[in-house]
Formats: sequence, structure tokens, C-alpha cells
Amino acid sequence: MPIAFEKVNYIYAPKTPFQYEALKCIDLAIELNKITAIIGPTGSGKSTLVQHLNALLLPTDGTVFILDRTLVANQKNKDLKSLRQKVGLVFQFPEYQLFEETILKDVMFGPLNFKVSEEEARQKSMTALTMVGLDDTFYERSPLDISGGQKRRVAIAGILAINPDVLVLDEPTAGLDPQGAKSMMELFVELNRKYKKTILIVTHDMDHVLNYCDNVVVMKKGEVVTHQQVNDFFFKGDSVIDIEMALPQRLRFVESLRDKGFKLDSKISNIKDLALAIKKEISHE
Amino acid sequence: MNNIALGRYLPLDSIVHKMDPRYKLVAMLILMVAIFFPSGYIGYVIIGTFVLFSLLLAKLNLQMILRAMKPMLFMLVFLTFINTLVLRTGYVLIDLFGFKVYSDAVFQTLYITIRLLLMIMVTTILTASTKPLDLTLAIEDLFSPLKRFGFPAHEIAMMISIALRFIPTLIDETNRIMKAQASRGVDLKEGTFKEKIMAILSLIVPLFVSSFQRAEELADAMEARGYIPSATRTRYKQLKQTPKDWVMITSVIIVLGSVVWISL
Amino acid sequence: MNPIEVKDLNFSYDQHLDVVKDVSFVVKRGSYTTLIGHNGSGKSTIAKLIIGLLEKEKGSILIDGQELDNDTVETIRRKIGIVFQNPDNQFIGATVRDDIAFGLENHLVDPLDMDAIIEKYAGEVGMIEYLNHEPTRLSGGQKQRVAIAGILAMKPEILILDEATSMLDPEGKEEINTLVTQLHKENNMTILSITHDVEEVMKSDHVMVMYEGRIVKDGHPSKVMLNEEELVRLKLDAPYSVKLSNELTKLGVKINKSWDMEGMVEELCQLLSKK
Repeated sequence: MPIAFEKVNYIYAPKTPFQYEALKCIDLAIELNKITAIIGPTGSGKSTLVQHLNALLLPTDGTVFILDRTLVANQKNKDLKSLRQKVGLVFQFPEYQLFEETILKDVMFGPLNFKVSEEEARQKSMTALTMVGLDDTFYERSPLDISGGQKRRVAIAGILAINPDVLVLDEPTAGLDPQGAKSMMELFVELNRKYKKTILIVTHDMDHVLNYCDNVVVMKKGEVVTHQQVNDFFFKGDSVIDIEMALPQRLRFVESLRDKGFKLDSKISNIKDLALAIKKEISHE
Repeated sequence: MNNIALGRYLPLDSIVHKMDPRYKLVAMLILMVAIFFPSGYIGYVIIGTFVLFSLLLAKLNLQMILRAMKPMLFMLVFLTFINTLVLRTGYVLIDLFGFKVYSDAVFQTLYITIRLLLMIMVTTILTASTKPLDLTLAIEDLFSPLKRFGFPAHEIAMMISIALRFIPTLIDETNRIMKAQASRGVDLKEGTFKEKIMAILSLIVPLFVSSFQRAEELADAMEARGYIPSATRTRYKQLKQTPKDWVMITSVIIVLGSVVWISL
Repeated sequence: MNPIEVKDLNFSYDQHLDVVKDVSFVVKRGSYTTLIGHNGSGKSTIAKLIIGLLEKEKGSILIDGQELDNDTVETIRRKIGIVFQNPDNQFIGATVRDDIAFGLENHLVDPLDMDAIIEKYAGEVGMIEYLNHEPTRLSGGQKQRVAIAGILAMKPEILILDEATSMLDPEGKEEINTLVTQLHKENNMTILSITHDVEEVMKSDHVMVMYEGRIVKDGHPSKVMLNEEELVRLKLDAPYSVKLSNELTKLGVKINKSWDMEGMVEELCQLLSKK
């Protein structure tokens, strides 16, 4: 039951003057039950790629394997809706999708669309809202009446209530304040470790990639440039790979200190260890 | 793609394209009036010739016009049918197994068809050769003498131009919302009536909400930049008339004049 | 005379939730001031109050010594340029040219002079090749640059950024931050930036921290942003260098003088070579 792309091409507006090849011959296999980050500059094809995962887009060429479904280019693909129950996709700034009278009803909208009974939908929605940190005082409020960060969480709860096996999120922390971003990333880790969900996150935040993700896919101009484990990506042997994007803060500190003569292991994984290592260097010299 | 709505603007390079939109708009209105005068064959020949000439001058072709007539086809057939049954004056043209078709019925239908054709041709020439924003400027200029009577010419023009600016943005946003709701299981093709209503609501409500928010933010930005609707302001885009515009409007007035004279 | 002087400012949206409480502060001429606070702390509201988009309930707002009220709001708006968060919702014109012209039209600039002005300021923000582009063909960062060009064309002394980069990708953020720093240094503009970005705060020369409608800290970032526990209580994130500094202090390694990465690295090197 893989999640894979085989020689996938995607062309926007084919045969028109606006034709644009967004994905070029993608060969990619996503590891299940892990958290994979998808990074790359704007326009590299990240959004196009993830929209294939729940069949919002179908490949112009090639094949996409998602769990028990196979989507082949130029073939009739029926019943795409059932796929969307297994692969939940949350777009950027999802606050815009809220529309129901109350928050609880809005979260129930998803499961109800997948023919779940009203009672079960209610249960799942309440669980989902608890997971995102919104308690029962929110149930009867209007989704338009809360803060932006709270709306974001309601929107995500709306997809969690569908209980997909795979969760795909396009920049889930964009525009959130630092603490909001942190609790959101911790939620995804919990969904992965505790509920065994496969998680894909499109992001620009290298600190998040380093601190929360297992694997990383780098995209550029419609192609996959690298696909590695996060550790291999940031550290090559004993020194940090020179990547085009900005390094996470911890690594920047480590590299600056190393450049000035500190003998630090690049793979130090948190701030306390870093402090200890610095102290050791200073005291033992 | 700011050529949705208002017919379709075709970015061609013709004399008509370069003419002052104010003159084109007025010309269109004058021709519309002319078309409705009961001037008989000769009148329609005069108008028709002028319109066809303008069409060619604008580098357009008849195919487009016929395509624009397509939606009317059903109505015209229906009209023919009704007229044949109802209008029983004039002389008998056809006699089918005792069912008589009278001349007045045929000619009336023909007149209506020709009028329709001419109207479509005239409006198409206008919208195909004039950018929507230029039309808006023309409307603003033509209506501005009415400002002293309280008619909000500028405000209307501003509203139209902002609407035009946001059409592509709104289309993108609608697509985004549709995709987001599709990811939540919305399927417009299947489902009970109630489900379909919910599906449509799930598209319309977010669009409305974001539009209201957008309007508020836009108004704030405009105010912060010193915009006051009723105050005097200058305008970056100026419309310039040329002798060609004078020639065109004069010809149109001549057409109207002849048609009116014939009708009397 | 200070560009912005606020005293005992109070505002609430519908009489029960006080959004801004007893706020007083001064923004000095030529400074780069940041205003930081948790979501809902009232920071964006302050920006709108300063420019008169919202009406204060109590207190006074002085712009260049002039009291902000219904009569003076138009003149005061000429002195302040504000860039909002959503790049699309402040782009009024059909093209870059038209959008920059919008401000000029409002201020009764002669249409014959407009082309030259538009080209000059589009050039200053690096958008000269995009003058005839529609907004749908521009990135977020580019749209914000156009907003800044439109503002510069009015030659204001004060530039307010209301979370102007929070909806942009890293490239766009970089574009805008560089441009604003340039405007601050070369044009001597007074900058008030409302932001989430702690790293930006550390680069500014004056920071004000808001918490639940009040200003709770006001001063130089090197003094205000050092207490990690306090920042967390205020629902903010401390800069990485501050966090590291605190960890080192716990272990007995004291960083005295610096609070940014380069400074800390230098100090640590000195400590390394001393032993």
C-alpha cells in the first residue's frame, strides 16, 4: 500500500497559450507512518505535487499510487471521493473554508459527507476539536467569530474528524505566532507517533523540518532534487551540507562556532546539549 | 485575463480599437435607436451597410456574430412558430395542406431577426474593440456632467474598475474554495437535494465572507492613501479624441438622420 | 517633536472587550521601532488608530506635534504610509502603474506629471520592469513592493508596517526586510513595524511589547528581550541566541555583552582563547 509517483508529469492549461509544466517526470516514494517535509522555492511544484495525493489533480502523464488506488494518466478514474476520506488535505490559510452556523457543525461537515452517522460524526468532531486544543465552549460558537489562529485549528479539526490515514498539510503554520506554530507541529508529531498517521508537510520553515520531520523532499522547478532522511539531509558525514535555503538556527550557531575553532559535533540535537558542548570546550581548553 | 464579462475584448490592432471609447459608446447608443425606427428595407440596408463596414474595419468577422446568435436560435424558432400562428394578416405566402402562412407573419419575424442581428453586431463591435476599463472611463466621463445633480459618476466608475480588477482574483479564490471543500468530501455531482444545497453553501458562504473582509481591508487601504469618494481628484488615464472620432460620429448621425427621414 | 506620540490611548470594539488599554509611547524620529505581541494583543489596532481608521475613545495621538482628530486626519494621513498584511487586499489598480497612480490621483497631482513620478518610485523598489503587470501575475513580495512604491510617491516621513511580511514566503520576506532597512538607513524614514518576528525585533533599535491590550515593556531590544521566562509568559518566543545564552548561564558560562548570534559567537571565541 504505497504512496508513490512514477514518471508523473503535470501540465496546467494544456494546448493553450498559458500552458505550463508544473511537474516534470517525478519519481518519488513516500515512506508510510513517517513525517515527510516537502520544501522548495515558490513555484517549484510543491502544491501541484500534493494535490495529486487526494486526486484533486490527475497526472497528465505517468502513474500515482495512493494506498490501494492507482491513478493513471488519461484513464477514467472513478470514485475519487473515497480516496479523499483516506487522504486528508489541508490547504494554506484553511480558515477560509469555514462556513457552517456553529463550529461543531462545521467540523461535522466532513465526516457527514463521507456517509458517517450523525452521532458518530459528532463524536469524531468533538475528539478532533479536543486534539487541536479547542474545548466544548467553542462548540456552539460561530466559526466566523473567533481569532485567525483558532479558525485555523477548526479547519484542521474539520479534516481530522474525517480520520484520514494520510494527512497532507500545505504550510500549516504560515502566519501563526511562534507558540501557535509550535503547538501545531507538536500535534502533528502526536498524530504520527500515537495514531500512526502518515504526514506530509509543505513548509518553508527549516527549523520545523529539522526539529519535527523524519524525511525531506526538496523540489525545484518541477523536479525532485533530493529525497532523504532529515539527518542525512542536514549532515553529511560530520559537516553540514551547504543547502540553498536558510539553515535552521541551531545549525547556524553550530556552524559559526565550528568555523571559529570550536570542535562541536554537527549532529547536536537540542539546545541543552549545545550549551553543554560549548561549556565543555571552554572549560577543558 | 481581464476580458471576461462585458462580451469579450479581442486585442486586435484596428482603427476602431484605437478610437475614443466615449465616441464609440455614444455611437452604439445612437445606432441602437436607429435600429428601432420603422424604416423598412431601405433603412435596414443603410444601417446594415454601415455596421458591416464597421465590423470589417474592426478586423472582426461574421462568424463571431453568428456564434453570438446561437443562444437566440431557440427563441427565434419559437417566435417564428408563434408569429405564424397568430399573425394572419397580409396576403397568403404558403399554403400547406390548408394551413395558410401569411406574409405579415413572415416579414415581422424577418424584421425582428434583422434587428437582433444588428444589435448584436453593434454591441460586439463595441465590446470587442474596447477594453473594459476604457469603457468604464468613458462611462465616467460621459456621466460626469450629471455630478452637479448628485449623480455619483466617479463612484460608479471606481466600483466597476475595482470589480474588474478583482474578477481574476475571485475566480482563483472560488477554485481554491472548491478544492478545499472537495477535500472535505463535497461532490456536486452526487447526493441528495439537501446535500447539494450544503455543498453550494460551502462554496458561497466562504466566498461571501472573504469578499466582505476583502472589501473592508480594501476600503481601509484606500482611505489610508487619502481617498475620499466625493472629493476632487485628478485622473491618471486621460481619453484623447482625434479627428477620426469626429468623422465616425458624424457618419453615425447621418445614418440616424436618414433612417428617421425615411420613417416619416 | 516626535513623529508619533501616544498618550493614554484607549479603544474597544463593542464596549465590552477592551482592545487597547491606557497605551502610551513615543516613536523617535529616524528610529526603527518594532511593536510585538501575541495574537489579539491589540497591535494592529494601534496601527489603525494612529492613522485614524479607527476612532479612539480616550487619550491623544500626536503626529509631528499635531493632534489627530476629524479635522486633521487628512493632513496627517499624508505624513504616514501604511502597508497592510494582505498583499492582494491593498492593490487597487488594474496594473502596477495604475496602483501607484491611485495615491497620486487622491492628492491632486497633475496627470501630466504622473508618469515620471510612477517610474521613479517603481525604480526605487525594483519594480520598473513590471509596470504594466496585473496583480495576478505578481508574487506577494512584489505586490508589497508596489504598495511601498505607492507610499513613497507621497513622500511620507513615517512608514508603518502592519505585519506586512507575515503572508509572504521567505523570499518575499527577505525582499521587504531589505527594502525597509534601506529606506530606514538611506531615506532616514521613521519606521514602526508591527511584527511577530523576534529576529526582526532584535535588529530594531526600539521595541514595545504588548500583552492583552497594554504595553508591558518598552526599550532597546538588548534590554527588553532577554528574560526568556517572561517572554514565554507574554506568549512570545525568545530569540534563539537568548535561549542559548540562558542555557549557558545555567552552566556557569556567562555571556555579558551580546544578544545576537554574531556577537555571541565572538564572545564565546574570546572565552575559548582565554582559557
